[in-house]
Amino acid sequence: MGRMSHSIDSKNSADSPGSSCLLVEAGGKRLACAFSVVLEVGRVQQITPVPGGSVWLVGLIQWRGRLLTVLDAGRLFGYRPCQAKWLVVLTGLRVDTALIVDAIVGTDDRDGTADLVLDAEALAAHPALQPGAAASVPAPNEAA
Amino acid sequence: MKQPDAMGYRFARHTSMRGRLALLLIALLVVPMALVGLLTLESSPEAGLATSGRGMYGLTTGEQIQIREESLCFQLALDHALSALKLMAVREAAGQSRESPVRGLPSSAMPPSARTMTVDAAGRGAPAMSPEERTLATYLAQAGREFAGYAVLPGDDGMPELFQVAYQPARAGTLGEGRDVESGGLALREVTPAAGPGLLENLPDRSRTVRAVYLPDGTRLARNEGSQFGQNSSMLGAESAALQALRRLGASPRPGSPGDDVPNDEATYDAAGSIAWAMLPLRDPYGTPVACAVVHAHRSDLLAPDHIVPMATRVRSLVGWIAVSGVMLALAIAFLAPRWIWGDIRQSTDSIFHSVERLRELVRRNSRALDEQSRVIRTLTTSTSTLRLSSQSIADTTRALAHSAEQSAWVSQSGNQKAELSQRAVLEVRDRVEQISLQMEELERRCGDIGKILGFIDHLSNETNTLSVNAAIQAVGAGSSGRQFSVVAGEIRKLADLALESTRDIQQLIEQIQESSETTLSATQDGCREVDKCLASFEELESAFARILRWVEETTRGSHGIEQAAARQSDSLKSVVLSIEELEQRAGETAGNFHEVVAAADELARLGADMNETWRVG
Repeated sequence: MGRMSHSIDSKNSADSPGSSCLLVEAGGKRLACAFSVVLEVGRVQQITPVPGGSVWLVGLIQWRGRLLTVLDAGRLFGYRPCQAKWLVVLTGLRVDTALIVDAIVGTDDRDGTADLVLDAEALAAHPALQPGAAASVPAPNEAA
Repeated sequence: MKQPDAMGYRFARHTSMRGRLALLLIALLVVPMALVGLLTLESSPEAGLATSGRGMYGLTTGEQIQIREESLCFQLALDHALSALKLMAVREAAGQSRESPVRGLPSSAMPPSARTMTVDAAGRGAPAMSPEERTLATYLAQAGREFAGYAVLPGDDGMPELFQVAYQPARAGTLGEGRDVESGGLALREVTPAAGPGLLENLPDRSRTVRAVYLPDGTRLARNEGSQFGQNSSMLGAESAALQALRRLGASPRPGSPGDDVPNDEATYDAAGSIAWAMLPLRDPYGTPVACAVVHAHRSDLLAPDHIVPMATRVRSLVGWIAVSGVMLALAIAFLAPRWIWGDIRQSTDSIFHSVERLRELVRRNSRALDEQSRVIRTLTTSTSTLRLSSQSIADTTRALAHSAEQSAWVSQSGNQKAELSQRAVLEVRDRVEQISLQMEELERRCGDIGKILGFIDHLSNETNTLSVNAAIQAVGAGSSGRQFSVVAGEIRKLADLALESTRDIQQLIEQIQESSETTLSATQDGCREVDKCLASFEELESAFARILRWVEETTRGSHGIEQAAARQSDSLKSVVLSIEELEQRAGETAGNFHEVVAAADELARLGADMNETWRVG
């Protein structure tokens, strides 16, 4: 959790101003996702729950022929759980992952309203996005 | 009003007074009459008169008819003869000195020479007659009328002379020429019929069929007994026969000393002994003469004055005794009758007094009962009048009630009509509301459709937004070449957001419309329910109006019946009131009469008491 806050803070400070990103809302917070890690957005469809996983693990989903691990962005970053309306498919990670968020806010964060910047590095370093971490990595709230 | 009982009592009282007066008059008259009779007997030569030889004979048959001497016709004829004799006797008693063949018969007072007199009923036609003669002649004329009366009267020379006194209203004059007949110193005038119609012609026909004439002495001179009759059987014949007989009788007059000269022989009958006679016709009820009465008076006593005195003395004595007896009887009646009569009268007055007392008590009872009846009738009149007024009031009230009921019926009918109109209006409103409800339901359904369309648009907007985001992601992945596309994707996304916002606004509006529609629909349904309730109320109101109308009609009929009954009752009571008023008036009049009767009874009782007291005192 500490890392995450670090990465987020560093992102906010390192990221170029007016950079394009996908601004979403999850667990009452705004997240700025770099377009480099976003493959596609779409409506949440049928999710197959996975028993015995972490709390941020929602389940598995079939997406364009791929099996994606669906994570709750709110719970993953230590916020409230999401309503599971929008699905943000990530790319460039070692695990095919998709985040569920509450809403798609926009495609830029020019006002700097994002609470957390999610770029490729941050996501790649996130322990929950490591292979096999779904069943063992606790959520930030749980770690606390 | 007069009081008959009281008057009757006074009348009775006066009657009793009259009785007293009558008794007194009887007593007072009998004595003077007796005295006058005695005095008259003393001075009247008629006391010596005697009558004889009277008869009644049929005119048609000539047969003698026996009649009663007290019959009127006989007495009349007798009076004629006696009057003639009386006249002569009076003249003789007057002291006439003139000698007359008839002894004592004065000659100076003889009537005039006219021997045939025709006088009327008033005595006219008999001039130079003394009042007595005139009276006699008039009397004969009045009594005789259609017959000839004959009287032997002193002639001019004082000799007895036969006078014919006739009454002939239509013909004034003599019956005919006459001639004197001298026979034995007795001057007679033989009357012969005149040439024209005279008295005899005026007689009825049957009076001319005299078969016989009887002389004053009763000698019957029948037609076959005297040639004088000849074929003449009329009254003229009878007259002639009479004259003939007189002449024959006068052929042997025997004036001189009386007594022996009294004729007792029919053949030598002295005319002076029967110097007066009369004939009277007897008539049937139809006025037709059927018989002739011939009466003569005998004057034999005049011819024998010495016989007159004893006769007069006897008669005077007899009359004197009769007068004395009458006086005594009158005095006895005057003294005894009041005792007897007053005793009876007193008993009668006592009985009358008690009867009057009882009558007065009964009358008073009846009067009190009548007063009570009058009072009851007045009370009944008042009650009936009050009842009639009440009946009229009932009739008026019932009439007003009927009028109000009619107005109520009219109002009820009007209300019923208005209720029907309102019901129709409410039905129309309900139809409208139902239509509105249907339209609102349709509107809600359309809103639902719009919502569906909006949902679809929202879905499209979301999809468009997703596509625009993905397009922007892809544009970023494309690098610099995809920068323009990223702008387009951003615009598309903005449009999608606008469309989504608009869709949501429309959705909100649709939702508001749906809410309003639902509210309106609910209100409409509530209105429909209220309308249904109103219709039910209208039906109840209509039923109530119908019941009211029925009741009002029944009330109106009843009121009319009551009004008619009350009117009939009022009329009947009016008639009853009139009858009772009339009865009251009659009762009042009767009560007034009864009061007068009571007063009369009181007066009668008082007068009865007075009379009773008077009789007791008497």
